[in-house]
Amino acid sequence: MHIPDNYLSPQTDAVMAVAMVPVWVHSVRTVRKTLDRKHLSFLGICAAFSFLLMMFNVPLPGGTTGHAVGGSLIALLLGPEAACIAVSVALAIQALLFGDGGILSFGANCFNMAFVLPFLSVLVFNGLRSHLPKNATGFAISAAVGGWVGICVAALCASIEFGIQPALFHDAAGNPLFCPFPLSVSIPAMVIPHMLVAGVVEGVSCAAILLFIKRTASELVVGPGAGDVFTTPAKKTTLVPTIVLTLVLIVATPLGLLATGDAWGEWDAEGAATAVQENGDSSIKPSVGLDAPTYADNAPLGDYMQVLAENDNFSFVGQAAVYILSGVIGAASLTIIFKLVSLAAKDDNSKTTYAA
Amino acid sequence: MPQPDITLPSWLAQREDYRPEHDKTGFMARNLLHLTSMVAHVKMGGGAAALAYGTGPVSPIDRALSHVSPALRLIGLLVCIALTLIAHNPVFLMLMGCVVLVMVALRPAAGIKATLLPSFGAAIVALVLAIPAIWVNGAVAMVSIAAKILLNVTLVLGVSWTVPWNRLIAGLKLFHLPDEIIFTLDLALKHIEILGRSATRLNEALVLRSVGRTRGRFDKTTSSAGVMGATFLKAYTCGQALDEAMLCRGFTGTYVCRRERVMTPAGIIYLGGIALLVLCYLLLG
Repeated sequence: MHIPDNYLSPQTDAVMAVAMVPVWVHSVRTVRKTLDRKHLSFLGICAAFSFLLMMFNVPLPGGTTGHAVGGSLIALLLGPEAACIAVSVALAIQALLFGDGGILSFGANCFNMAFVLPFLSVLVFNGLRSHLPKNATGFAISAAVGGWVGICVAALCASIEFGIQPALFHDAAGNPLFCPFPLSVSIPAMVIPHMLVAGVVEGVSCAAILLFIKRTASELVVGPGAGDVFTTPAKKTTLVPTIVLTLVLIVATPLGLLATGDAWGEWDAEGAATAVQENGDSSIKPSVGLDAPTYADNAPLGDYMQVLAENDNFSFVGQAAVYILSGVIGAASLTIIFKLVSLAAKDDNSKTTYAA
Repeated sequence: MPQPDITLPSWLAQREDYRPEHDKTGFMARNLLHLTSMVAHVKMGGGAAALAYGTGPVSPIDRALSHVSPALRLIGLLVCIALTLIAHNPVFLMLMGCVVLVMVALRPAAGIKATLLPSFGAAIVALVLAIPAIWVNGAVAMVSIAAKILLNVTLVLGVSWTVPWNRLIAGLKLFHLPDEIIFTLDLALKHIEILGRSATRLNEALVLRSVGRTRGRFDKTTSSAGVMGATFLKAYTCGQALDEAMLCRGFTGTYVCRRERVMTPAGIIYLGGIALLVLCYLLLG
C-alpha cells in the first residue's frame, strides 16, 4: 500500500498532503493533551511495532504481496490521533531511510494508512462495542472487524488514488503519465487481496495483541480499547511482554522475504510495464513517466538493502540478516525519536484521560 | 497605653525614587551555564550515577557493560571506531549502525539526549566539512563520512556517560601508563570539579548581590576577574591541603594504582562480541 513516487501526479500528491495538515495538527494537539511521558515512550514502541508489521509481507492472491499496518491496534491502545502520529513517523522513516513509499506521495500514504485506517477502525470498533455483548469475545470481534474494515477502506482509498491517474493525467497520444491502471483494475487488484489476507492479518493481530496487552499491561491502554475489564489483569504492569513481542516480530520479519513478487502498485518502471503486459487488456497503455529518477533510488538503505544483498550474492540467510538489521534500525530509530519527544512531555499521569 | 509621638527625620520621610538601570547579565549567565555544564561533564555521568546508586532507569545493555573492565571497554571502543572508519561495505556500516542505535534506544530519554544529540551536531559539522567530497566521489562519500562520525561520537559519548571518570583513568593502567600520569589526571579531574563548583558559587553570588547596572570598581566585568583570582587562591589552598593530607597519611612519593581484573566472565563475553564484529568486518570487507 506504500505508493511510490511517480505513480501519482504532483497535483494529487499536493492535495493529499494539504488534506493531511489539519489531521496532523489535530493529532499533535490531542496527543499533547492526553498522553503523558510514559505513554509517549510507549507510543514509540507502537510506532516501531507498526514499522515491523509493515515489513512483514504476506503473499496475496495474484502473485503480489501485502502487509498489515498496525494502525488499528495503536488507535485502540492509545487513541486514533496517537496512531496517526505513530504511523506517519513510521512511514517517514521508511521513505527517508529505506526508500519504501515515495517522498512526494508521503501525504497520500499518510492519508490512507495514518488517517483513514486508525480513525475508521475506532469508529467501527465503537459502533460494534455498543451492539455486541460486553465480554472478551465481543471485544475481540469489535477490534478485529474494526482493523479489517480500516485496512480494506485504506486500500480502497489507495486504489482510487491510483485509478484516477490515467483518466486525469495523460499525454496527447493518450499514454498515461503516472499510474497506468484505471479504477476498474486498481480497485479489485488492491481491495480483494486486502479483504482476503492483509485485512485478516490486521484484524486478527489487532484483537489478539490488544487482549494480550490489556492482560499484561492494562495501564498502558488509554485509548478506546480501555475499560471493560473482562480479562484477569496481571499482578504487575510490565512492558516486557510487549518488548518481547516486538523482538519476536523483528526476528520473524525475514519471513516476508519468502513471499515472492512485489506489492501491487509498488513496482519499479520495468515491473510496472510487465504488469501492464501481464494484465492482457489492450486498452491499458504503459505509462511514460514512471522511469523518472526518485529519492528512493538513492535512499541510504534503499529497498532494505535487498538489492545490494542480491548483487553481492548473499544467501537467503544473508539476505534475511540484512532484512533483520533494517528492521532493527527502523525500530530503534522510532523508539529513540519518541523517547526524545517524551522529554518535552510532562510526567503527569492525570493527562491520560482519553478513555475517561 | 498611649503611643509615643514618633517623628521621622526629614531625610527618611523623603520619597526615594530609586530606578535601577536595566541590568545586563548575559555574559554572567553564559559563564555560569558554561561552568555548570563543565562541572556536570566532569562529575559522574547520569548513566554512571544511575548504575552506581540506582538513581534512575538504566539500559540493560549498559548494566551488563558496567561489569566489564573500563580498560577493556576502551580497547573495544578503539576497535569499533577503527572498524567503522575503515569500513567500505555498507552492510558492515549498517551492522555498526544497528549496534549503536539499539544501545542508544534502550537508554532512558535523558541518556539518549546526552549521547545522541551531540553526535548529530558533530555529524552536521562533518557533513559541511565534507561538502568538497561531492566533486570527488559524489554525495555518497559525504553522507558516509557524516554517518561514520555520528556512529563514532555516539559510541564515545556512550562510554563517557556510563563509566565514571576515575574508573576510566584507572583503566589506562592496562596501557602501561606511568602511575604518576594517572595520578595527575585523577587529581586534575577531581579539582576541576571542586574549583568549578567554587567558581559557580562565586558567580551566583555576584549575580545575586548586584542590582541594576553597576559601574566603577563594582562593575561585573571587573568583578569577574576577582572571581578568577578567588578561584586561583582556592586552588592554591586545595593544593596545600592535599599535600598536608598526603603527608599525614604517610605518602612516600610513590603512587601505586591498583590494576583492575580484566578477564572476568563479562569481559570475556565482551571480547567475544568485539571479535564477532571484527569477523563480520573481515567477511564483509
